[in-house]
Amino acid sequence: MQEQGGNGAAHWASAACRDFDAQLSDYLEGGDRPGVVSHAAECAFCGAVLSDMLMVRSASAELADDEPSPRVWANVRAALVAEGLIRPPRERRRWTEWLLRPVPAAALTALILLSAFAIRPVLRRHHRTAVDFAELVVGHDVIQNVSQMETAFREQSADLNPTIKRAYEEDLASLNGEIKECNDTLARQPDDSLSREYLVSAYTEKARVLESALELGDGDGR
Amino acid sequence: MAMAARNESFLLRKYLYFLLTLLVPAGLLLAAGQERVEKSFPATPNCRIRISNPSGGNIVVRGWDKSQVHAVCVTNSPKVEIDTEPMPVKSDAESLEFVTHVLDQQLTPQEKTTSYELDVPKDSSLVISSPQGTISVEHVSGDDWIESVNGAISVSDGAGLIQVRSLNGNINLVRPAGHVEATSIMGNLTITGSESQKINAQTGSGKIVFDGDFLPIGDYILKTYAGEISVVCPVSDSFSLEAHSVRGKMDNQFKLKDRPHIPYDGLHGASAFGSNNRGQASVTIKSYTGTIHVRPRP
Repeated sequence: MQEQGGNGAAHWASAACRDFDAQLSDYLEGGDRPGVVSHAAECAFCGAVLSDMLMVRSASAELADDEPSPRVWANVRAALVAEGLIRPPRERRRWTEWLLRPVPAAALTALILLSAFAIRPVLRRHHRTAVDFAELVVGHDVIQNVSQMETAFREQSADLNPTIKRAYEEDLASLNGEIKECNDTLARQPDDSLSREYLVSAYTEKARVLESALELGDGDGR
Repeated sequence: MAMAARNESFLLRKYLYFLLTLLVPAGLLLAAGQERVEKSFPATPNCRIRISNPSGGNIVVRGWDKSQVHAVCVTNSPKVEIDTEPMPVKSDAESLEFVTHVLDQQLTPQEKTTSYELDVPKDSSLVISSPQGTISVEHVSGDDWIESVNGAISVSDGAGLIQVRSLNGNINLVRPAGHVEATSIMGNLTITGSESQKINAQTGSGKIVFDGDFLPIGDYILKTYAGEISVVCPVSDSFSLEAHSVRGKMDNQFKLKDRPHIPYDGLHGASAFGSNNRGQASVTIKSYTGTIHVRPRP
């Protein structure tokens, strides 16, 4: 039974609700869990959850076994996992935890910085086009991965809360503007160390923003 | 007789006012589909508190002297659940987690939001994530991790590590005493009354305002892409300044002593390098296109 407070309608999940959560999957797979049904009868929230799960199970039984088309994000995620930039899907965290355990962001930052330092002598020797400068400074693979993350974001962003979606789009537009401006400056002044630094920062931030958006799109923040 | 009738009428009016003060807020909550829940948890003095509010909503957290967490939460739909997890369950909570769950994804964005108002032991540490809605933290001296996408974040009198990130919202830090990491893409960063030894504040197109002391062993980095940076500190502060704007202007009103070398190669734009007094604190200020102001406090 969930506790009620105030005018009696908002809910705190009680110990019984947590037991219900713990036993639900076993019950749905045919396990003998009388507590699930009895708690669902007493608790409106858990009752609604059980009802939804039974409906999903019933509906999914009627679906054909078509092979799903591969999603771009799945490919991107696999590539990033292979490169050690993000965690494997089974270790999925909430959308904010990349900040709290910033290994992926740190790894990507390290990769970007390494590329930036490694390429400094090359920058001095060559005048390149604007696009080439970004590749020289942050590396082709990083640009490709960030671009694929951006594509995945565009595909998934329809599911996001419109206000949040707009916020992410504004951030990306701002960062893309920074990248372009730094590129243009480097085309004119290849030795400009601060333009290189800001270009690296912009790509790092862009990767972080996209990871945050994709995590939010995967979770409850829709 | 008339006096008794007047008294009775006065008492009746008072009773009606009392009823109205109770019923009107409840009626407003119900009319808006809101539901309020209030609960207290016994907690250790340095309890770790996590609020995960993925659909957003305003959050207020205040530190107090009691060893107790008092929470008031308002949801905007009966199909939104707040899960709370104190650990350990049977004694004072060492950690306490609040998680908002939306049970029906068809709800409107507004219906999905939940607001939290918490009073927590003042030495608590916090982890708060809420993509939109304001987040305000006051008088909490443990470490704070706060993240938002669109919401403004305000932290007052924080003494621990303060790590805040709001992609589009403004960040306002008042009298921070611990290390500060504040980042944004489009929001403004304002740091006032700073007593912090270490600040790293970065934003893309937002402004940065710093008004505080540079402590002698401190390390300060203020960086924007397009925003203006305004720094005000006492003329008696001892710091070494590296300020540079690639395309913006430089407005440095300190008389700095020269430094032996310029720290960047291939430097373009406007810059100010040098020491004030003994040059003890390290202050780095960078903007790509924004103007930099460095001024003594009048």
